[in-house]
Amino acid sequence: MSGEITAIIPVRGGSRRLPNKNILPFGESNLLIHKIRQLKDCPSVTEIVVSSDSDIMLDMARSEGVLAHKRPIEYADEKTKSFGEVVAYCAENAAHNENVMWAPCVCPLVSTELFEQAILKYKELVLQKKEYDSLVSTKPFKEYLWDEKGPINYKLGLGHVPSQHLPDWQIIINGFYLAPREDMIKWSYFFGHKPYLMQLDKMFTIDIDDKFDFITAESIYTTYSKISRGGVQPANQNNLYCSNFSVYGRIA
Amino acid sequence: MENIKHYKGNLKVAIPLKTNSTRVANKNLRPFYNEDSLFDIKAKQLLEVFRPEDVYVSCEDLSKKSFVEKYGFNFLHRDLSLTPNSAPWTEVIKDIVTQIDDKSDIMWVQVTQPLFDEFSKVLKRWEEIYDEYDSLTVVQKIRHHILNEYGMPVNFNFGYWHKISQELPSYYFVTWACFCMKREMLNQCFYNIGKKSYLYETEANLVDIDTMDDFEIAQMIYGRCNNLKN
Repeated sequence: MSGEITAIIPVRGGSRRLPNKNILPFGESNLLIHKIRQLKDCPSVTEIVVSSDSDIMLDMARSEGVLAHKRPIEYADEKTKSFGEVVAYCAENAAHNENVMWAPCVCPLVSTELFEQAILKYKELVLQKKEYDSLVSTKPFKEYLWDEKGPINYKLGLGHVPSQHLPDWQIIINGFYLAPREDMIKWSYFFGHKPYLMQLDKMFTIDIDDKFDFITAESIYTTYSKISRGGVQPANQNNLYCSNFSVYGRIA
Repeated sequence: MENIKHYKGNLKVAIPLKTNSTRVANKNLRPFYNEDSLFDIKAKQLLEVFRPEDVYVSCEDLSKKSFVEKYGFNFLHRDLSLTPNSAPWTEVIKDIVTQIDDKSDIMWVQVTQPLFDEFSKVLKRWEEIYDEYDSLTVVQKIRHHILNEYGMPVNFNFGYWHKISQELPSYYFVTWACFCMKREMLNQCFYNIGKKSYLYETEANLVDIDTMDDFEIAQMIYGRCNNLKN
């Protein structure tokens, strides 16, 4: 199998919690264009497609010189078709390479460098060694979790543990999902049963869902000097953040 | 539990204040926003709702006594052995609440969430639910997909069964911003959460300060959110 990668940026015109979320001003442009430019800087990505029901967003894609895939409204209203059907539809109709990287624009701090590292890992572990069937971006989850009945990942009272001793659970981040195109179509999903979980430093993983997430992403972006439009870099080379820079590991 | 529910009494506030944070030096007392520390911000929020004499601050550093008393709060000295993360949490709580008195209900407040300031709302809810619950825990709803240590989904399912974030089942995480507990329950468990805790859901913007970089980012977020509020 060749290692050619199509990056799909899925963007809906509507957004429930944060209107026009995907084209909110960010960095030098907006979230969508920011993501397109990060991907254009990736040597390993040979095709970039913006898949959307919104003509405004598709025009932005064209003006940035990438492909525009018009998605019928039933694949973008979050009602008519299930999420899995949307993934399968986009993989089938928008991508022309054998591998797909699903790359939403809601994680603007997931940078060119991280995309490249993810693709390298994907080629090694999924395509060559076949140890995993897909690759997903995650971040550590070290919170005391409850449902209405009680605690889920710890015990109350004498069984209480400091947060660093909670089990190594993770949260899926909308940074990137990589899998063979045919498999995405077959699974109707963007990863398989044996995904490699690429754990990112929490600094890169702000996943914009509401106004506060957006403020947080902007604050991080502003705090660190922008060395290239590929993403953020630590301003101070001696700080803790730097030592964690591009930390990731395997837990699956 | 039945005999607890008739109790409606005074509530005192306990603030555990550590000055020997390991990862961010003096995290709670260093200037955070306009010269105010995280402790100052929390103190001012609490004074909007409570009488200062009802607030107790537990700290291992005696030199901070005058600083705490400046707000009219009570200073409780905490033994150094009860400050590391390895100290049994129930012992820490026992040490603090038994120094306050032996009858008051306790609101436990941590200073590390400067954007959480819903104390009057929490008190109102506490009164409403008092007869039915032994404690109140401030939580926030999870809007993310969680995987366990084996890579298996915790609050969703793969493939056709995937749910988008808005449709995930109700899972929460404990914010540690604020808890309330009836004294009778407290004297049994010496913990923040009782046998039957009411989950108070907040949508407050929460920050996560583990490193100096987190601290700087939280400063910026706090400033921006404050500007939006005003």
